[in-house]
Amino acid sequence: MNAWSRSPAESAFSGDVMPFHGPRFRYQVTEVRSSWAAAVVERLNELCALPRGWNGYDGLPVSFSVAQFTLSTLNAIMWDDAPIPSIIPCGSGDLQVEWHLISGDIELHVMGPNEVSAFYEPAGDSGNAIEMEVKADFTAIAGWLRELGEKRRAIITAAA
Amino acid sequence: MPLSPPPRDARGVVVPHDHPDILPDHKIIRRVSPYHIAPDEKTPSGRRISTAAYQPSNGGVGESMSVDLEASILDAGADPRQYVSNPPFIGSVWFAAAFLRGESLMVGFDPLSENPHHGGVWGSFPRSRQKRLLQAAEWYVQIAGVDLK
Repeated sequence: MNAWSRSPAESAFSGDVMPFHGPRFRYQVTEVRSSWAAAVVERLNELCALPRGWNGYDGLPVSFSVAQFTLSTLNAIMWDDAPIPSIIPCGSGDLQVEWHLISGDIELHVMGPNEVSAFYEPAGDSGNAIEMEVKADFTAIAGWLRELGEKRRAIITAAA
Repeated sequence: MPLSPPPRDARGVVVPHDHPDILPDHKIIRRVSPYHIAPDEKTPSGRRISTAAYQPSNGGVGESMSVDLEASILDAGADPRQYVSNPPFIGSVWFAAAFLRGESLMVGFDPLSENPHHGGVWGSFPRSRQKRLLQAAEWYVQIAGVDLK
């Protein structure tokens, strides 16, 4: 299981700890195991370390709680060789997780823990787009991702 | 003609408003950060602007989507394409003020000490509206190797 850790003195978690001694204190993710996780963890760490004003408009870095929740969510819905999402920072410590695959699109706007707006649109089928708010049950999102992943694999195989 | 001063609250903060001097055909420019470029397997270039680029800039209560007002820049005698292309921005898109108002958004003037041509777009930015903004955006300063939508 991935663990997002902070210093022993401040940690609400037990176990793995890896404080980052940069310009100011930063959290870091440890125990990366899935094949996709290294890229995701690296990106989350990068976004949590953004300076204030990174977007030129006083934007905040991605918050620790949002990054932690995002990692936990991805760990729950992705399989080992799942398509790796893009992780895009927003301006108020929130972020978007985006899959723009040849088979369709999924976007998750993670505003906070258990506060997610999800969007799904199969390629060329905007009439069947779905937008929903998600609190704790990400079963539907996992289903979307598996569906798009399988269609993508079929498209790539057919084109080969 | 310079824009008239925007309405402010008791603390001097510009309040959400629709500025009457910003005309329907005025170009409202949104700068694009490199962080808002996302890979997309469906686009010719393989990359496009994320919908995350089309939402309030720092998300605070009453916060707006920051923009630059082309008419104000031109009125000051500056080159707007050069003006909006300073780091960290690598490109920009534009909307007509009328389009934004048609989306029930307010287009106002919010001058800053570091940017006297700064404007604000106030309103809600649900995913459906962000998607329409994505579809309606036109390049103002194009980013090489990136598609708009």
